[in-house]
This record gives sequence, structure tokens and C-alpha cells, in this order.
Amino acid sequence: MDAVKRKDAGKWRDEFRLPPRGIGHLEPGMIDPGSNDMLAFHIAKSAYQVRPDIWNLAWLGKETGLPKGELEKRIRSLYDRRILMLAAVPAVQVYGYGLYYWFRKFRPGTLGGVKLLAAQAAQKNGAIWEGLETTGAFDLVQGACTPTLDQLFWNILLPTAAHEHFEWTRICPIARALRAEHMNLWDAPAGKDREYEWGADEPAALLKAQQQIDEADVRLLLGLNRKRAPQDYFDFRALAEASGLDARTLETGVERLLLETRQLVPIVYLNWQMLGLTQTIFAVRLRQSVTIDRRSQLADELTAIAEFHTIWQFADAHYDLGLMACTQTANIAALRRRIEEIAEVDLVDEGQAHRQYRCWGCRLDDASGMWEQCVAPGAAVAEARA
Amino acid sequence: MKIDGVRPYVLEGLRHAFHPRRIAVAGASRHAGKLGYEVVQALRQQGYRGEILPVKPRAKEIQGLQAYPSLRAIDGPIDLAFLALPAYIVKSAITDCAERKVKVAAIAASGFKELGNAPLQDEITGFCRTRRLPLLGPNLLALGNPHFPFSCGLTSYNALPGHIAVVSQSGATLLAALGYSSTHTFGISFFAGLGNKADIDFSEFIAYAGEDANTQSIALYIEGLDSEEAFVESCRAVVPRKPIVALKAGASAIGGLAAMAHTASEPGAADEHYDRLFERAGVVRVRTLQELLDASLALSSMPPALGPNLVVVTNGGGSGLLAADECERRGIALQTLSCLSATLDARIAACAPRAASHLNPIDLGAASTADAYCNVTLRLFADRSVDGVLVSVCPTSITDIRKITGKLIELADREKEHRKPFIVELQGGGDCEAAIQHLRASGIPAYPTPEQAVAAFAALRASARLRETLPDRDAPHSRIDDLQQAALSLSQPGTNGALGIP
Repeated sequence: MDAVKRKDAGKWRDEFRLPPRGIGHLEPGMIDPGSNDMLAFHIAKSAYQVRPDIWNLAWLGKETGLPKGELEKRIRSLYDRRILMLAAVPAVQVYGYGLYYWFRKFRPGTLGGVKLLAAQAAQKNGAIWEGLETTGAFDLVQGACTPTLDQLFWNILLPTAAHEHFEWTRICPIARALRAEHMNLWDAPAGKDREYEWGADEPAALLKAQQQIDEADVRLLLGLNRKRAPQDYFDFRALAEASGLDARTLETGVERLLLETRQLVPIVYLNWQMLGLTQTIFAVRLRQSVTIDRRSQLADELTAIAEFHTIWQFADAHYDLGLMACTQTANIAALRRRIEEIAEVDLVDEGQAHRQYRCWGCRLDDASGMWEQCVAPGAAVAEARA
Repeated sequence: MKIDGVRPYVLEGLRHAFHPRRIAVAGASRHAGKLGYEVVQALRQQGYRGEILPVKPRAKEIQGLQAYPSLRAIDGPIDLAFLALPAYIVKSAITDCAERKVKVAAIAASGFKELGNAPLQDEITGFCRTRRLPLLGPNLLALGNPHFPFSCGLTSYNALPGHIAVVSQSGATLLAALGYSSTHTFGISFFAGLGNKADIDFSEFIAYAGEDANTQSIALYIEGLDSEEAFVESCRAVVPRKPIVALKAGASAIGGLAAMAHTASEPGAADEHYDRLFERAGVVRVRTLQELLDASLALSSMPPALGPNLVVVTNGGGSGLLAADECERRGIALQTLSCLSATLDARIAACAPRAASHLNPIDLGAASTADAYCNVTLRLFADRSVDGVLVSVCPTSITDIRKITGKLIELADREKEHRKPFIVELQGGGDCEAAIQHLRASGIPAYPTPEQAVAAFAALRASARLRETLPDRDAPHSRIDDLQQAALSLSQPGTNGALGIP
């Protein structure tokens, strides 16, 4: 691992200082998810399905080489085919929530119908933030944001359908969210947040692995997610026209969100299951003797591997790291070897995800008829309590 | 926002708003508990027989109905666009409404002037006025017409069809009336919770109520009036045919500030100003929510009291005394029968039980029968010196509440040509409550306390007095009858409605 050398650990600690969740806010719970800073994203999220002009098409045209009309046509087509979805990944801790994931394994011999019921229950449960169905070392990977671990246990896990059929449940509180679906988040190493990472060979492999999107679509996807100046994300005049609000106010809000509070990261999500792709999830346990700062340092080092499109660092859990890569576009065997080469690694469990029914509170499975039905963190908790 | 007078295109919009053949629900949701879900579900459950058009760019189908990505994607006319959308995307939907020539738009979202966002509210209102798009809300709770039937908004109550128009700036007050409707037989002709009432003014609802064939009285809850002269003018045009009763809130110092935060109502003039304003408009003013409900009920079902001479008939001395005291407090002190008429006392004595007291109240005694009540009441109806009759029934163990109630209903129906206010009061338990509902369903205002019954009479008297100050006017030509005729055909299962809905 070459991102941070062991001998630089002291320097790294000084720089990193292990602030609360590594984000630049003052205090958890002090930022209002409904604040005016969020307005531009709210408007975009409500309008982009029918108004591709809310994007900064001029910037996007230069970035992708595609003319405006072509951009609009492709964005609408990709949305209508449920391949793209705009999301703003929120750093839920700044709203006063913790983000908890858990891995679950069914008892041997559990009937398929029981698994289906469990999946349906999770799909319907608005408190579930993320949900993946897997095969392999574990059967379900789910996440939720709640104010406390107690609430996760009593309000979400215990009422879950068919829990008596699970052999084990491993709760993994997220200490740091470094990357999700190729997008570097607030806990990525300094300066790398909002960078959209794909392995060098992955775009070409993506084109070979499916027939639903072409090279221009991939360019568009990469362009939509390219890290850029706040003013280049949207056409703020279009947002102002849609909302009746002041364009400059909307732009200032995005500037504050992305550069100051860093409370969310915009992403245009690629719905891989719609393309027939699958994901490999590595759940990694480090040796018990590994120090806390070294665990974080290792997570940072792993961000150098672009094929890991999702990187979670857990705290006080059975697993210390969660890593995801696309089975069809990445070299999974090579990635596993790289993990196993890390001296501190004690265990690597592996699962294959074939279905993702929710991500960041938004439902993804079009077959359920609930595509892009979103549940805000607060609503999710309220629903779980109810 | 101020208007100079009732705008014809708004009146036309309200006709469609309360008889919508096609309702678009922008922001329709697949998620139970969200407004956009509940509105669609309620429309389906209420038996709305028009067309529901959910608008949701993320969904292809909502509750089994085809969903449209935008209002622009809907073919054909749209009578009502109900916007269950957050404030920040309302402008876009309103633009679509104008493009699609929607007849009327309703904004449920808050977050406008009441939260300091006046520029956005004013911009949207100005846009709507330029495009002649009548706008309800923002911050609107609900609107509906139980006769049609339909209800759109944040209410799960199914109001009872009736003759009282309820127009409330407060959602809470509207909910109280809607909830009260089915549990207390309070029939409603149409209702609207106005919220910030950015565009459509109280005066325009009053003008609409004036031409609505189902409406016989109008109940208003007001926090602020933007266009006082338009209000007065509209009321004066309607009051000769349909009484109006108003509850004005925000009289206290802190209440005025709260009204601004609630529905963006500007802190207004002193409360006495509204006394004078309502007097000029011919509007009966009440001070409590219960009075608003009680008075509007009486005004919807009884003629105005042409004079102050109320006679109280009771089988319980206490209830009669309480009624008498309340009459005096309200400036309509009871007169003895001999003061009212030279022969009334004798005629009552001839038909009342021997032990009855013939003052006013007339106390028939605890053993009073249905026949005694009816004989006395009949004579009071017939006596020209009596302006109204209040019958009070106390449920002793030998009082046959059901029989008395049934006979009084028969009597009132038989003698209705006297056109004299007739009010019943029953104080007691469940049997009295059931009798009250029975009486109300039969068109007789009935109440559980003497004070409420007297207040209802006082409203009828005030209504008559206020009418005398106004010029009588013929009802304007009304298109609403045509629409209501069509609504009737819609409500007949199996018919091809005149509105073209299969």
C-alpha cells in the first residue's frame, strides 16, 4: 500500500486529527436538512426527471463533447429506462444520526420463500437506508440511519420479518464513509471528496459487459459525476425558473454545501442491476491488535484502489472494512489478493450482490413499482418508531 | 393579495373547483402517510366518480392509476390541480397549470409568506393573476364538496352533505367543523381551508356560496381580510338570501402576531373595527368556535327571527331559567306571555298540564308528555306575537324522549308555513344526544345546553336585524345549478353523467 507509508503515520495523524467523522461541521445535529442551502438539490431532485435543463448543460457539453440536444435526450432516456438516478448522499451524522450497517446470514436450509419475505419486508421498511441481497458468506447487507444504536436494535432489527431464520446478524456501525458507488465521500482522504473513481479499464469493461448503454452514455455518466466547481453542477437560472427562487441564493447554497459544510455529496447513480451487473462485497476483519489510527490509515490507503467503488470503515464491529467492486468490470481475484496481502487482515468474507433494492433512502427496484421513492432519515426513524 | 371586487374568472374557477370532473394531483405519492398518497387514496375511497390524474415523474402508476410525469403530459381539460408539492417546486407546477389552462390550482405547501417567504408567494400570485389562473392557498388544508362527493387535502373526515358552507382560513378550525359534521349531524354544502389565501379572496368564496344551490348559510373563520371593501360588497349581495356568520380570530395582541405566523395575515385594526365591518357587511359575528358551528347550523335551517320575542317551553325549571338568563345576557330578555299577547296566556293554559307555569319559560312539569309539548308549541307557532320557540326537554325517567322528538319533528314539518325559528334543547345523556342528531337530520337545530340554544336564536335574530339594513337583491344568474345537476347525475350509479364521465 503506497498511499500513506507507516513511517508517515505520525504526520498523517497530525493532519487527520480524527475529528468527529472527519467532516467540517461544528457539531452533529446542528445542520437543518431543510435549510435553504439544500434548496438547489431539492429542486433538482424534484425536476430532473422531466427537465434535463436543470443540469449545467454548457459545462457538460464541453466535458463530454455532446451537443445540448443530445445531452437532454440521453439524460431523459437513461432516466426513463431507470438506469440513472440523481441522489445527494447526505452525511447523516450532521443531521444527528448514526449510520449503521449489518450483515445477515440465513440459517442453513432456510426456504426461498422465507428469504423472499425478508426481502419484501426490508423493501417496504422505510427505515432501511440501503439494502443488498447477496449470496456467499452472507445473505443480506443492509443499512439504516438512526440517532442511536439502541433505536437500530429495537425499532429496526427486532421487528424485521423472519429474524428467527437468521443464523447471525453482525451490526457494523459506520465510522467513516469513504466512497459509495464510485463517489468519494466526506471521509475520503483530504481533497479527494467528490471525486468519481473508476478503475482505468473499467469503462471499457462496462461497455463489454452489457448492451444497454453505449460509449457516449458512459462519457455522460462520468461527466455528470465529475468533481467540479459548485456553479458547474446546475443551471441555476433553470432552477430559479422552476422554483421562483433567486438563482444566486441557490448557487450560494450549493457552494456552502460542497465547500464549507460538506454535508452532502451529489451523485448520479448508475443502476447496475438494471444493466444486469452484479457486485462483489468483501467484509474484512483486521487483527485485534491493530490500532484505531492504523485502521483508518488502512481505509485511506484502500481508496487508492479505484476498483473498490464502495469503501466503508466500521467501528467496534465483527468486520472493520466493507469493500465493493463490480464483478463484471473489476478483476475480483486480483482485488482479493490485494486485500489478503495486507498484513493486518485477519479475515475476508465475500458475498455476491445481485439485487440492490435501496440506496441512500431511495428505492431502486423498478419491479416493485417504487422506483426513486425516497425516505428522509427523520421520516425513516419516525416510521420505524410507528 | 388585495382585489377590488369579485372577479368573474375566479368565480368560474370556483364552480369547477367544487364540481371537478378531472382532478390532477401533482406530487401524488406511492408512500402511505405522505399528503400526495392520502389525497389520491381519499378521492378513491370517498367514491369520487370523476377522473383522478396522479402526477409523479418517478412513477408509472400510483395506486393502480396511470401516473403522468408532469401536468403538461395530461391530455384533455383539468378542472382542479391539487399541488401536493414542496414549496420550492410549486412555481414550476403553477407554470404548467397555466400552460395547460387548468381551471383552478390549489397549493397545499406551507413555506411562503407565513414563513417570511413573501416574495415567492407574491410572484406566484402575480403570475396566476396575469394568466387568469385562480389559486387556492398556499398553506391550504383542504377543499371539498360532500354532495359531489369529493375532498382534497389533509383531512380524513367525510363530511355530511348539508347546507352550510364552511370557509376557514385555519386548517384546525376546518378540521373541527369536518370532524363535527358526521358526529353531530352538521351538514356541509362545500368547504375550503384557505391558508394564506394569496389569490382567491373571502369575497369570492362568499359570492360562490351565494349562487351555490346547496348552500343556505355560510360559516367563516377569518384571521385577516386583505380586501375589506370587496368583502363588504360581496356579503351585502349575499346576506339578503343567505346568512353569513363569522368568527374573527387574532383579537389579542399576541394572537395578531400568531395569525401572521400562521396564515400570513397582516396584523389588522383593533377588534372593534371588525365589529363595525361585519355590521356593515350584514354578517353575524360570533366569539367562539362552538358558536360558529351552532349559529351556522341554525341559520342554515331556520328563517331569521323577525323579532326578539322568544318563548321557552320546558319540562325542567332549571334549564328554563338558564335559558332565560342567557337571553337577558344577549339582549333578548324574555317577556311574559301576558306581555306578549292578551290571549296567549289563556290559550296556553287551556292546553298545558294543570300544574304548568305559564310565564316564560313555560314549565310543563316533569311529567310532561309529547302531546303537551306539541299542543303548546302549536299555539306558539300560531301566535303572531311570538318570534321564535325554544323547546327544552329534560330526560326524567318518565320522559319519552323519542316520542317527544318524533312528534316535534312532525309538528315542525306540518306547521312550517309559519316560518318561525324553532329550536330544541335536550340536556342529558346518550338518549338526548341521539335525539339531537335525529332532530338535526330532520332540519331542526338542536343543542345540548340552554346557552347554545339561546345563542342560536340570538344569531337568527341578529341575522334578521342585519338584513333589515341591507337592500334586498335578486339572486344573480347562476351557472352553478347546471353543474350541480350534472353532479347529481354523477352521484347516481350506473348513469352516464351529464359531465361526460362514464
